[in-house]
Amino acid sequence: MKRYAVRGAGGRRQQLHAVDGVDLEIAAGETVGLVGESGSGKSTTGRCILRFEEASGGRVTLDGASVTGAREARLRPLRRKMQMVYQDPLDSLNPRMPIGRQIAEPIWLFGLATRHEADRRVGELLDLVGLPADLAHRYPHQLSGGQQQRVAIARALAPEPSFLILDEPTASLDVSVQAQIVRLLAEIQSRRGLAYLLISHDLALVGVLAHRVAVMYLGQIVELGATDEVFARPAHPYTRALLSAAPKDTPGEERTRVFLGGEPAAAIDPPETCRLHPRCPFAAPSCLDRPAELQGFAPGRAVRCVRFLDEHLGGAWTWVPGGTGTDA
Amino acid sequence: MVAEAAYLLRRNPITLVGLLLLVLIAAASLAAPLLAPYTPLGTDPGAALQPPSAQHWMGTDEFGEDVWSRVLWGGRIDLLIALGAVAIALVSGCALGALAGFSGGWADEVVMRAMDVLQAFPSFILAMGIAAALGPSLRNLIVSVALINVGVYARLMRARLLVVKHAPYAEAARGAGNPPWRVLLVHLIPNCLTPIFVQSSLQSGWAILTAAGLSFIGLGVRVPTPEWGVMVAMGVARINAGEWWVSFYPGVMIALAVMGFNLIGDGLQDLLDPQRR
Amino acid sequence: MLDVRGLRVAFHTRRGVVPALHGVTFSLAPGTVTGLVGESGCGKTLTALAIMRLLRPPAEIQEGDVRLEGRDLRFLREREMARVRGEGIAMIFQQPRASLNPVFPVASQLVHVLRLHRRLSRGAARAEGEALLARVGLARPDAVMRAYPHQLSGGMCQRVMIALALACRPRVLLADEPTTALDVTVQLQIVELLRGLQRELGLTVLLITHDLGLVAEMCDHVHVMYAGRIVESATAAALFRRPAHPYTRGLMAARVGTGGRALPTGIPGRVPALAETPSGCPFHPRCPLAGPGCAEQDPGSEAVEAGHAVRCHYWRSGVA
Repeated sequence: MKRYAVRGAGGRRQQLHAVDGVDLEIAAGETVGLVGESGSGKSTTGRCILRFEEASGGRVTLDGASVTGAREARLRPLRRKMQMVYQDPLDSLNPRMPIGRQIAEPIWLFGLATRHEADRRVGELLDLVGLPADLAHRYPHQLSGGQQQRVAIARALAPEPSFLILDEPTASLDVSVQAQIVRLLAEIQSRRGLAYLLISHDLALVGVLAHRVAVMYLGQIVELGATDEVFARPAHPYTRALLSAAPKDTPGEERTRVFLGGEPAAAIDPPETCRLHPRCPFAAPSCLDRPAELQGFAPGRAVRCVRFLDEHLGGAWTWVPGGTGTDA
Repeated sequence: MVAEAAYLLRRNPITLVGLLLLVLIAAASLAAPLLAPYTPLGTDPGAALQPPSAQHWMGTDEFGEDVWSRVLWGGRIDLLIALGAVAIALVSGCALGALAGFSGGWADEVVMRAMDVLQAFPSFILAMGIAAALGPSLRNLIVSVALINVGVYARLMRARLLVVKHAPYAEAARGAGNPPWRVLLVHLIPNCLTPIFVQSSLQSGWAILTAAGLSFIGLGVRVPTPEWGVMVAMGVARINAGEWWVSFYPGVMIALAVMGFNLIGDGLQDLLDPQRR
Repeated sequence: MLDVRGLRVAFHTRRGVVPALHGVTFSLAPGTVTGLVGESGCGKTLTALAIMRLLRPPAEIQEGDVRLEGRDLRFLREREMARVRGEGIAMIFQQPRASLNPVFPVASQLVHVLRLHRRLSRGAARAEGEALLARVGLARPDAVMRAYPHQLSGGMCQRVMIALALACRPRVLLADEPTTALDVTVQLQIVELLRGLQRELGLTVLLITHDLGLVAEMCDHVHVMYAGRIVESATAAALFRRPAHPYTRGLMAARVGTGGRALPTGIPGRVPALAETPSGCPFHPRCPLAGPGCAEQDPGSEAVEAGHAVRCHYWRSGVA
């Protein structure tokens, strides 16, 4: 179980609310997708969980042990249990170290085995990710993008973590290789019962791998729920915009699009009320009456949209497809 | 590693020339006891200032010492100066630069301002000052030359480190369980070394020139010690009298050694960077 | 409008001459959008650069014909070709921020192009520049004119690039991965923009991409490339309805759709390095339909139906 409420801030005179009041729980064997565009705060959230950046508030707990506020000595065993796979494998691997050594490091650094033992385990890990064991003395730039990402995954799995953060794991890969990596990640999860936090702007990827999804905009979660449901019947206007913006599957497909006006603002000194309001095609004056809070409206689903909650809470909720702003 | 080095040398003939030059000089200097027909300090007033001949391949100086022998023994001293001074400058400069670059904050400020002070002086003048303050001797010569070069390494290391410490693999190394000092030593510094090594080969050449210069004006080693710079100095007065060989041969050796160091500079870059292979 | 025939490009390396494009042939009909689809390393960007004669050594065009409205581009004098670039064919590149000069504000880059090709005075060029920026949907063109590339978002930079490309009223537009580096909502905006402009100006567009979704959005015709060859050509509708080449089918299966939780199917192996292209049909080591003869002979073009061609020995066994 992991739970965290994170609030990050930076900037000099003004406060940049990079991440604001994020609450998530992830169970073992589950994948939660964190979806948003650039500037949504999803990557920052991930890095705060791992304590690569210090959150300004909130708590992160891993299996009941507190991650935030832990001093170095207590943080180490926790670090072992949470690992990260980065977007660009060439950047996330040390260019001057053979990959075998990089995979072995976490094993003996965390005290799981001696250095000699670790080398043997490297072979097993390479096998697990579908790479031949003799690649261990190669350098990262001698491998293809797909192979590099597999190495990064092997390194993340080396200390036998229980939780993996995947930050855009397929973004820099070719399409056919992406599919291979997606299958690999799914297989590993079912074999080892890992919990994943999948951070991505690629809705399709999240749709395939994630059991639940949280949509972020300007540092806040605006919608939360089971992936299938959120994708089939999105509640928040931003979710609808994202889903409809995805390219068509075939040329003949008809797709109604929900458009957002303008460009996303920076989250500097943001208002308590709805942050999407200036751009939202469903915006109404009453939306600014009260602060926009994330509230549940159906089992397992929550949304941060004043208008939606006003109109649907308390009554049976029926979802209307498309919509052009006169939605009811 | 050896096979790759051989391949690279074949591709860069210039580097090969440089390397051969240095190897020859080093070998000759190391073998000085075997190759030198006379002791370097053996005076023979009767045979003073004789031009190159079968008995004295490079002639004799005003004390009757054989120039060829002194050149050979001098090689030891000059190479020692070059490598020693550069090694000291490199290690201390890199340590300081790493401290500054990695810690940031006030450590960075303090170290960099100290380097600024050091580099504000024209380097040779500074070396003169240090050597004069410490007194002429071989050890002090090495220290002086080392000190004026520390700043270069500190800056190089710091500059690379500032870039590299933000790389995802630095963070990944932390995630893999490396404590910060290990991230710095094992992961970051090896990625910063290439420009430093290239620089150091060039610095070695300059170190010899600086040492020769200091000795020339009397601030380096003292007279009887065979060092190329001192030998050139001693022979300068003799040139007008037509006795050119006393300065010429040590001067040529300086030139060859410096050239050798410069030529291997680029080749080192290729050799050390795994991505260019 | 644009005819490419038998284009062969090779690289001169220490290990000899390595062929990169093997006889690429296609035509762009005026006013249409054609997609050139493939993964990294298949040669699509190389093809565009070869058409624009922007290749530098060690790359070299060895053979082939490139004609714009019948005019041979390969043997034009450099000065003539410089006029074609911009006025005849314009190109948008992949990374918008990296393709704009970071030390000049947007205004100077636009004005430079306008004065060079359309011989406008400085004042007229500025005015026209602002008008162009408004045309590509930028809200405050005067502010954008004064801005430097790093002050603009990715989407805005891409619009600036499009404005630059259209400044000289080209007839053909080569768009190399125009949406790859952008967020998905911004991608949609750019796609809408390009479609609108293309209809309005009657542009002929060659869209280079690895994203089949983008192809479905925008393209009338499609060519699929692999290892420096076109392996399938069809109208977009036909390609999606009945993909014939095993590689095309693999790409389709590798896509992740927003419906259902089926895992995508990857294509085993990986794209071969240029110097290690397999003999015969270059796809055969990874191909589920590979059979006798595939390793020996590069397949020629066969017709699947009217207007739909494929280069595969055994395509029939894969298609229903």
